[in-house]
Amino acid sequence: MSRSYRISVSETVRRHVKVDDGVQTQVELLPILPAERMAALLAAELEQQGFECDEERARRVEQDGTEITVDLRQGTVTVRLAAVADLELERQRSGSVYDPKQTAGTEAQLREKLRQELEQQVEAQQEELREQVTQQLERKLRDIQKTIDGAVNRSSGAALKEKAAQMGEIEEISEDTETGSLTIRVRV
Amino acid sequence: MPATWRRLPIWSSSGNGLPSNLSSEYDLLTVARALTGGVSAEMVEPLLRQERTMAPRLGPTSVGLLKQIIAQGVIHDLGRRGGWRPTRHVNQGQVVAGRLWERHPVQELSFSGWTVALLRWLVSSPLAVASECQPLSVKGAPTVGDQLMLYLACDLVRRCDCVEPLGASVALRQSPLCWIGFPTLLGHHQPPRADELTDGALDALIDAGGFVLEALQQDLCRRWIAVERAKADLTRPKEMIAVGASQQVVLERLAAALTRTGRQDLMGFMLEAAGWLLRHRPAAIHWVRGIAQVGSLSQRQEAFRAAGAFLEALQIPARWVEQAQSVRFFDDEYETSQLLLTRWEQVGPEGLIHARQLVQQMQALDAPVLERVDDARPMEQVSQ
Repeated sequence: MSRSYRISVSETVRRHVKVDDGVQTQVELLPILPAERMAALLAAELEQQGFECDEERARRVEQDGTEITVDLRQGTVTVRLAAVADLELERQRSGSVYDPKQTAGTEAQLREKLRQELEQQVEAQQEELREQVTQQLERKLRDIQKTIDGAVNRSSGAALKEKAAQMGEIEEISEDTETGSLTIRVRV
Repeated sequence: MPATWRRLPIWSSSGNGLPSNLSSEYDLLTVARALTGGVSAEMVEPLLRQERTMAPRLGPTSVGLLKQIIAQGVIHDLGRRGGWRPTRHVNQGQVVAGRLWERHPVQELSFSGWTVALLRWLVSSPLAVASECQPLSVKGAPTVGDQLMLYLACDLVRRCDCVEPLGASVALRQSPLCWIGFPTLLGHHQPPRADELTDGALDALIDAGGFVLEALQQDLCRRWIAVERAKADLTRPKEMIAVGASQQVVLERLAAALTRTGRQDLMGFMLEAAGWLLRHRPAAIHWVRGIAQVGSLSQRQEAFRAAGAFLEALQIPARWVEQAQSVRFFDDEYETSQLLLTRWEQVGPEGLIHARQLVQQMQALDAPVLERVDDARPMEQVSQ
């Protein structure tokens, strides 16, 4: 009568995973004034929106970790969000053999299968985390786009006023906040 | 073709009662007739899908018949695909009106070993099983006639829905005409490399085969409309990125070649397709519906940009139009400029503005959440 040997193996995986997602776009900065001045005007507008600016770029990090960076010279806007998680996964597997000589081989096979399963589980959890980041970012994109568009429009308006002042004496300025139109009458 | 067919001795009778070498020649001639519109795609679909052992060479009777099929069929097919339409094109710097044969009374097309190799490949390869299909590779450069046969082959294979082996075939990827007609079939894995779609090959095609491109304008227009409409069904961002990259490369290089050769009129297919696509002012979501909720935002944004490749390329003819508008009536280029302006009317300034708005929407920060914010009209209005 043969006896079966039960083999149990357990594996633990500990991973520190980092996922991030983001989008990038280009805003159109009208060349009304020299590029440096246009950048300074945009920086001033963005500062009012809570951005920290240096000569090259403006940056704002929101409470949930969303990072908005504006390259003031190139007009490139980058929005990124990252998330980190410490994963600890543990699984067990067991199998039976009838020949004691096969114990080591079977154990190695079980361990290998277990490792593969754990790797798949890590990947799945990483993807889940990435989807959460994506959804979080999706909810904010429209507001960020509005903030940036508003800052660009206001900086273009400021640039137009400055340009008009350079050309002559400003007699009248009328602005429509709803349509964003700006009319400047200049005496040259 | 079942494996038992492949094990048959060379002289045994096959399905049509002919010795196998004659049978394979018969199949080759049938495929040649299908390429040139002589028989329907459905009739040759089994031939294309299955593997077939070919006789090592064609007999003299078959060669004679093949010449006859190609000589008559190609001309008939060029006429059928758009050559019959009375239209205007540039010929040696002058605008000429009429049907294809009236604009170009005598034109010769030559066919080399490429055409025979293509036909043998179509008959012998199991095109439905891409992994078992050897890519078509032929030495030397194809003639304009060969390129036309390659183009017709792409169309036939597309209609038989076994396009997978096309993109891997070196011979097809070397043909500028195939890239112009089927950028997404050839480039759905990889866009054309610099050594595949060369300036020299494009210039040669336009110089020697301008009349072929003229005849295919309507066909090309249909193809590009179909490609744009099919974008809504793509569900993998990577696929959209590859499609957009191929379109961008093909249109940019073609436009550059047309500028060099003074044949901007051959871009008419693009303007006609754009006019048709934009006539009901469709929303951006109609280009990206399939990928609107798929993958990460960064992937999605890249795919959205790729989706707008055709619309973005409209900037090229728009620049030509700006130049054409400044040509005065006593200038040499007045007639050709007027022809371009007439073609441009299909898109018009409103169409161009709408195309720019669509591209801006697809490239905006909030583009990946387009579906939720876009007030999209139903597709039926666009697909009439």
